[in-house]
Amino acid sequence: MSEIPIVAEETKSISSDRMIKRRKIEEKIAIGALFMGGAIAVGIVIAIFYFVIQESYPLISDTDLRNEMSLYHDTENEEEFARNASVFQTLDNLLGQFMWQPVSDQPLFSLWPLAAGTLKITLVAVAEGTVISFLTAIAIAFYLPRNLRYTVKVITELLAGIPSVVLGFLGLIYFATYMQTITGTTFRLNAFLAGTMLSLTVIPIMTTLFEDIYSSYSKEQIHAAKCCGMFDYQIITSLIIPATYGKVFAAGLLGFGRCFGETMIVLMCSGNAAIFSMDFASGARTFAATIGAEMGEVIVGDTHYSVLFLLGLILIFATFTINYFSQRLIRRWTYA
Amino acid sequence: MLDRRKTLEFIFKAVTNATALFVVAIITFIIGLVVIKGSAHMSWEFLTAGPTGDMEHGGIWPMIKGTAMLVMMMSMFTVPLGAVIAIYLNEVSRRNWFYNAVMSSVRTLAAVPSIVYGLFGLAFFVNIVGGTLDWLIGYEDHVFKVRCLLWAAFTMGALTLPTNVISVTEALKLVPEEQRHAGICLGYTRWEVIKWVVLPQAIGGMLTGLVLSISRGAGEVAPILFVGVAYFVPNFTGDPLDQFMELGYHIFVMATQSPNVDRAAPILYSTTLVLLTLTFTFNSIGQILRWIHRRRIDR
Repeated sequence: MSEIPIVAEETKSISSDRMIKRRKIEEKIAIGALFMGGAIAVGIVIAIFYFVIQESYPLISDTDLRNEMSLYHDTENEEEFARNASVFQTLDNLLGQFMWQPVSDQPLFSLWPLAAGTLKITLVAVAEGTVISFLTAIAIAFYLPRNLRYTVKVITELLAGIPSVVLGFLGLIYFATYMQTITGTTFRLNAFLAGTMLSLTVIPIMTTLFEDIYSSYSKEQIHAAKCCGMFDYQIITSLIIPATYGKVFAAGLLGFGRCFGETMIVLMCSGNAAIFSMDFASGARTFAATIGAEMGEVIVGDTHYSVLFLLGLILIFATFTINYFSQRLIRRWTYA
Repeated sequence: MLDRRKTLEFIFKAVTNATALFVVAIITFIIGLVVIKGSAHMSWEFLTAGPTGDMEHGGIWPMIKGTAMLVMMMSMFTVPLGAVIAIYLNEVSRRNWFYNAVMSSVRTLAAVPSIVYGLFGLAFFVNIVGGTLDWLIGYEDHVFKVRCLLWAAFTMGALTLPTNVISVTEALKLVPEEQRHAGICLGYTRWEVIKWVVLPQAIGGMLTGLVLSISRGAGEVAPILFVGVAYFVPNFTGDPLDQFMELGYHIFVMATQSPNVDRAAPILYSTTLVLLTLTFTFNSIGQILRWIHRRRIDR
């Protein structure tokens, strides 16, 4: 009962003019602060883009860097040549030859070996990841005994909680030796090992996605098919796979985007050999791993520094394109 | 005909179940391997002593301390900001172009590869922010323009921002719309609705975000590779403007650059066990919190 006067007092004070003014100001400040929070999020994204572009821009804007990138040096008219170094000297170094040797008298920064390495490792990871997640998701959705389904799902998601550096470490120290005995490769660390370890990071993501796709498939159709006497495998192959392959493709693309930027596992398991070949048994080096391995030792403002930022830029744009298309595909297949 | 179908059905069932069991087996194997090999070297002294003699003996206390400092400073920055962004998106903003911009920014942040955050941290926090602060205080030598714990924490904060936004958003979505309407009918302003009605119920989401981002931040190494972590900092005092040692980086650098990996392996397994325990504990606390929160709202 004693609370009533307090409430009455508050009501009175809330309705007073000064109080209303204070509340209005407080409202303005608070909403403004919340707005600022949103602006900071946008700001961070813009800053990421801006600074990665800004640090790699000197490669085409700065004559000194262009001259350093140049593969040809005219020893007679050194100064004249340096002053006229064009953008094509940079492009020639990046795209016109096939060697990655950043620390030498004539630094060579070809993007091709890194692109080949990235493609190799990502392909292995996505192929293994998609097949395993697809089968696991079907097992969870159809075949496993009901009391096991939830357990298997939770354990699979546990894999997502293992830090990538731990997977990389185990791949390097433990799995590499066994993998070499099984596959019989010349090199202990190779693209196949890195891809296999990398696939462990996509399996939980993809399994969850696939499982969502299959469990959201219309129950009535499944029941109807069962009533017609179809076996589970027939339902899967003739109903569910044709109806969902677009989404499955999109999920695969999403996993591709995730693998593309993974650093630690690749850095530790791939052997880091920048060679231009599509041989899965040889070493490989990806864009992300190159940044991780070499950024610690470069001089800020150097050619090498700018090239590494250029690699970052390539990573950002590649992941964006992949993510954009996979999101679009998912949306299209959801509404269709 | 029926026989063929039965065989096919059996093959399908066998293959898919085998794959699922294979995945479970691999995960169990990985965790079991780390636990068994790691517990051999585990002791109280290992956790509380500093490394000695070529880093192949002694303990890992400096790395635990560095990781803890990193994670704490990161969450001080990222948890409030994540909550503010989530509240802005869900409670305040109209569905206009700015809302779309913020929304796609958060999505973008979640998609950017972690190594790119490292580039961003180096170019923005170390060089630009640090450089500006140095210029403001007018020192000759670099005070802020160094690779240090502070900028590593900020970089990690940007990385874990989407995790926080998503957790708080989930919590906000669970607050019944009627309660907000009731608040407005009582004469609350928009901010007062947020302060008295929405926020108390979203605390659980913030906690979940905190715990999940700690789990993520402790496990990620790529973004801090060149923003402040170091191979060996003998007397790390906890100064934010100093380089630091970190569990994940320690594992990476010892496994790849140690002179004798076989001799370092026992210690590395134990370090891995500590890291795995840390991330798993926080991850599962986060999941349990999320579950409890959902149940409480459901009632």
